Amino acid sequence: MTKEAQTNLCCSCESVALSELGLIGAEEVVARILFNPQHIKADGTVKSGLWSPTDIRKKGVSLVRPGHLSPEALKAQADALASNYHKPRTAEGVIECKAEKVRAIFDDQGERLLCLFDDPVKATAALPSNPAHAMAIAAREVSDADIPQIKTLLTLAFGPLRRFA
Amino acid sequence: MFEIVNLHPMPTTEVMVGLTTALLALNGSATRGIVPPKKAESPTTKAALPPREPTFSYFNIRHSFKKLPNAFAEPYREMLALKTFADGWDGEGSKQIANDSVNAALAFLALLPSDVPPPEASAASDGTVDWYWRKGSKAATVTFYADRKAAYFALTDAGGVKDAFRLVDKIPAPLIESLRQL
Repeated sequence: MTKEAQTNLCCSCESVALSELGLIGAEEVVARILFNPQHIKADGTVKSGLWSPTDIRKKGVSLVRPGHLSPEALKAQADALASNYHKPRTAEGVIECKAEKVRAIFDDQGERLLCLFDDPVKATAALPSNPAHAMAIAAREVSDADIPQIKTLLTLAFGPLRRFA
Repeated sequence: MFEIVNLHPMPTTEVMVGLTTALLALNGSATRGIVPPKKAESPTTKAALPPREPTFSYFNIRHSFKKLPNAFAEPYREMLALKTFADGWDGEGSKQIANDSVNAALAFLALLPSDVPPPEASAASDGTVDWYWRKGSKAATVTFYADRKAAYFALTDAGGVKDAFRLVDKIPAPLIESLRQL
């Protein structure tokens, strides 16, 4: 079910850069910032619940492009997101993987299940801008059975938690 | 001695908590449902019976007392605990874990053969829950939606299998075969 990455065959959103940082290349690393220890196992890997079916289908899975952020800027983004919430929470760290792994999740017919594209975020009253934001979202209407496949393969694709210093 | 697991929809978590408390009080113990393996058996009886796996017991409203392999005790408790996750548990917009989803996941656990490795309970921000297995670069996820709808994906050395199903009284055979390889 996991094949060589075939970019831009079905995800037109990957063909045009929305930010000045340019397209996300196959080798580029994308990261997910983790706030909730509930999703993290003792060995630092994450559980499948990190990936919400609703995010996969509709909202998109929020990611960042750490190659375009200094470690300090990445931490600052994480802290800003953590503090912009009605309950106290802390950014635990990030998990990372190459873009090509996210793009190499295929269904039984060999069609891509996820698109991954740059998604710059403008500043709001509460949060600073983040030109290095990225999004992964279902490439088409996915079935109930597609969801655990996407969750499992994302969980396997991303490495263990890298805690903030 | 016993915990209650609701394999069928109930109105509120509070009812379950109350019943659990009542049963614990009746038994005078808060050992969280673990029943140690029996030791005192006569040599003749022991020789005559096949070895039995350690189990733990829980109380099911409709089906009286049930037993699960001891290895499933921790996953059972982890999954049951997810019912306490309220709106906002996983950040802005995250939803309370659905009782229906947890009940279906516990019913699934009760149907799981004892030779399958124990899963891990996992919750998602939209209120759904998963059982999750991982062994190196292989893994499986069973996701539980509302109305006992579920779906699975398992990646083993034999490849990937996936399907959606409605949990009634059995687990799809291809899933069980895959889980045995994890």
